[in-house]
Amino acid sequence: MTAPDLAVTWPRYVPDAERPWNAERVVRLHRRAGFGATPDVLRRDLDRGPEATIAALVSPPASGDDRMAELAESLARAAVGTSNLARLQASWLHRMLFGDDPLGERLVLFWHNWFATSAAKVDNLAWMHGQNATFRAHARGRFAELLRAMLRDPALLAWLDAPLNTKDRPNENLARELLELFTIGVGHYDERDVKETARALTGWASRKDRRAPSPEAHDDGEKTILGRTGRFSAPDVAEMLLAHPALPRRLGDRLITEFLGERKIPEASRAALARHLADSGLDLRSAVETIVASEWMLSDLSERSVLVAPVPYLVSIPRALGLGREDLSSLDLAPWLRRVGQDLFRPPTVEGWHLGRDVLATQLVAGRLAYAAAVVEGSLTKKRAPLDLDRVLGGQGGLDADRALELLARRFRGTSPTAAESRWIRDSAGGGASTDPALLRRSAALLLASPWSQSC
Amino acid sequence: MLTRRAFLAGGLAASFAPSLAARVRVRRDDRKRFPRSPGDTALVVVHLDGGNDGLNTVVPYDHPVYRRSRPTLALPEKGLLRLCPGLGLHPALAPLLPAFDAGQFAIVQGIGLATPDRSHFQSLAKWCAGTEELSSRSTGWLARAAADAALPGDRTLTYIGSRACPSALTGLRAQPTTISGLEDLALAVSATVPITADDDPELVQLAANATGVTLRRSEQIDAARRSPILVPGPRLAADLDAVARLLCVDAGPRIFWLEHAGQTAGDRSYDTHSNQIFEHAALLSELATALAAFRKALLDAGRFDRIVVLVFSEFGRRVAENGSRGTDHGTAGVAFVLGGRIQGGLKGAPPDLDHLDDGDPKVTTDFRRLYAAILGRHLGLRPDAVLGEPVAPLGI
Repeated sequence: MTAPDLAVTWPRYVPDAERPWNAERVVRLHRRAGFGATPDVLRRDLDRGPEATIAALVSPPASGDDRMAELAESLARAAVGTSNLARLQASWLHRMLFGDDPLGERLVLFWHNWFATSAAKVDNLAWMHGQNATFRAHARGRFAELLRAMLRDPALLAWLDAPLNTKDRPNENLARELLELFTIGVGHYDERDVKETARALTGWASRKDRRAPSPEAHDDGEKTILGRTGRFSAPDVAEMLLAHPALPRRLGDRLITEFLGERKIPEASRAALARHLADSGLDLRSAVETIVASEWMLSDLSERSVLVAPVPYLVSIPRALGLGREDLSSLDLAPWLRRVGQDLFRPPTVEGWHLGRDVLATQLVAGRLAYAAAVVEGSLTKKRAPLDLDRVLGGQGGLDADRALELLARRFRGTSPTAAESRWIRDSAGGGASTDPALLRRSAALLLASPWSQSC
Repeated sequence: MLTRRAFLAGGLAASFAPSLAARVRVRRDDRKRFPRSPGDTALVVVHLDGGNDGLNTVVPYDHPVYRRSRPTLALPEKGLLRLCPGLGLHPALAPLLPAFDAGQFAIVQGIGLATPDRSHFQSLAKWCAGTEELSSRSTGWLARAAADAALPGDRTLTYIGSRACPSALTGLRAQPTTISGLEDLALAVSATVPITADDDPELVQLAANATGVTLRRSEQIDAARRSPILVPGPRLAADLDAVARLLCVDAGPRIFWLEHAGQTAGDRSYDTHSNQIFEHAALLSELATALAAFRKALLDAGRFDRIVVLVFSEFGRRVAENGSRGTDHGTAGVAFVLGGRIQGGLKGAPPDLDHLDDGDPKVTTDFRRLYAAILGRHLGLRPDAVLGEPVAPLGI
């Protein structure tokens, strides 16, 4: 049986009269595959068309902006030097806010959620930063290299008690999560496999961890894992899992959910993507390109299948407002991560953050409302002054609430405010002259946090 | 009130047990005279996150298998709180002795899943679903309880914690409230409840519902926020304080879910794979102190007779310790129930250490029997409807 044809099962978006390449599509692409578009990015990508835009997202050219990376790294060094997690969070936020590789940083976030490791237990920011850099290096490479790198990552190994897993007394933590979460998933192994995998992983440690057990701690006896018997050690287990047919399907499904949310994807397409991953040696770039360039990403603008996750939501607001490095510092955004529901470097469990509909939990909705208000009222900007929305939205003075909302909505999410939405904002923002700056700000905050702005 | 010195003397099993039985008899008489109206009881579920070691909580201190399997972890008989011959309670749980003495504290042994799987997620998912047959359509048992009571989910179900809402509260149309603390719902922007158009997409409707829930709750929370602290302390105590203050402001049927995860928020602290002794003692001490203070606060407010607290963990731990002075995921564990009108005492059969199942004691109490008792006897609901089939309730 031949493999299903990817071109047939994953039709690409091609602009035409009914589905033109317009501002709305540019904004959607950036909301789903990045962190929202700044006004400059919106103009640039509208001009260059979908093919060039998608190509640049998937494989960005070498950035000329070394200053951005330098600043991010200096924040990270300061974080490590002072054991200050907020600085490490700010370092990463800086890349998302001001960098040129939004899809890359979305993938780093994806891997952070896949190999979810928490600084709460791994009390070493150098290791957490190192893990983040490893995600960045392998974000769109081959999954095999990422997995092998993670099996040597001191943060991950410490998180899952690998240094304590010895021949005399095996500790099953790493083995279990390796099978259940990092590769093949529940249903494809049994308890015996976990026990035997734990034995295979005994004595395994990162070279960076000087507390690591010595080779004598390794149980080099015969193990039977997933039906095969041998004197397996960690690299052998990795190879077995990388070759397992359940892995490409699981990877493909998760990537689909990341970029297309709840959209129903036909089984044939899911199978085709899995087959493509398997045949390409689990090539992540190619799989991501298939998803991002697809019809389902861009064609039907009336569809809302993705609930914007907390970090992309947080970062997209200053970007939509066109706030640059001179206007705000990522250090001021870091404290909001927990309130919007994605405290970077501190996922709640090794399962990662629950996204999708869980982002609508009560205190997270309250967090988004509070965050939008804080940005608009200026408490996050360097000047600590309320935003001049007239200037921000490119007006020439005398901007009224309705026009401001129209401009902001088109920038932030590509669509105009709906009738029901406008009614809600008017009722909630209260009275005042329609050009009153305070009223404009209240209305803007409500729009940014409105139920109509949470999905794309 | 039994003193520690008295317990260390060891001779109190005889004097302890009859006084307990006498107290329990008294409480049964009380119940006849003051019939409870079902449906106005609050249930507080406390999840001990990570798999609490039942064998070091309710300790079979002189069983040879216990002593042999735990060279560094076996607790000495001296210092344990004697429950009955051969079984002692971890000393850190001493703050709960007054409740036990009053017949308001039940200890359920050998409780767990019929199909143990040792996975935190899977096991917790089963406890949350109230069934061991999970599917992508599984709903939470507490969401079903709220539905059975025909109660609005957003008012009835509240999760206080910093993670994703537990699946016990979700499914069906319930939109539970989730907060980290009372202050989280202080709104920076005033707003009315959003009303969507009929043709708005489903995710927009959901977001609008969620926003409405948030706005409504924030009004309620404000009154509780302004009230004085009832249960001082961080973490679990702070969460129980939030519950206590909410209950004092707004009585009525409520279901709360809390987690006890210990010092480092987000850590599965009860998942004691290494260096268990001190960590476990610290956790149990924090748990007992907070629960005792919660009980006292509600007794003082005259509301404890309308509260049931269920304390559980997703699994117990293995009989044999591992090489890191800890224990790995096991099966049968221990659950606690606290409440003004429960039938307290030691329930269930102690784990049979002479007939282990692959190194674990067999589960002798189906966890759903605990749910059936709480649902039927205390919440005034229909256990069969919520659990999907008839389940014999435990005697609590």
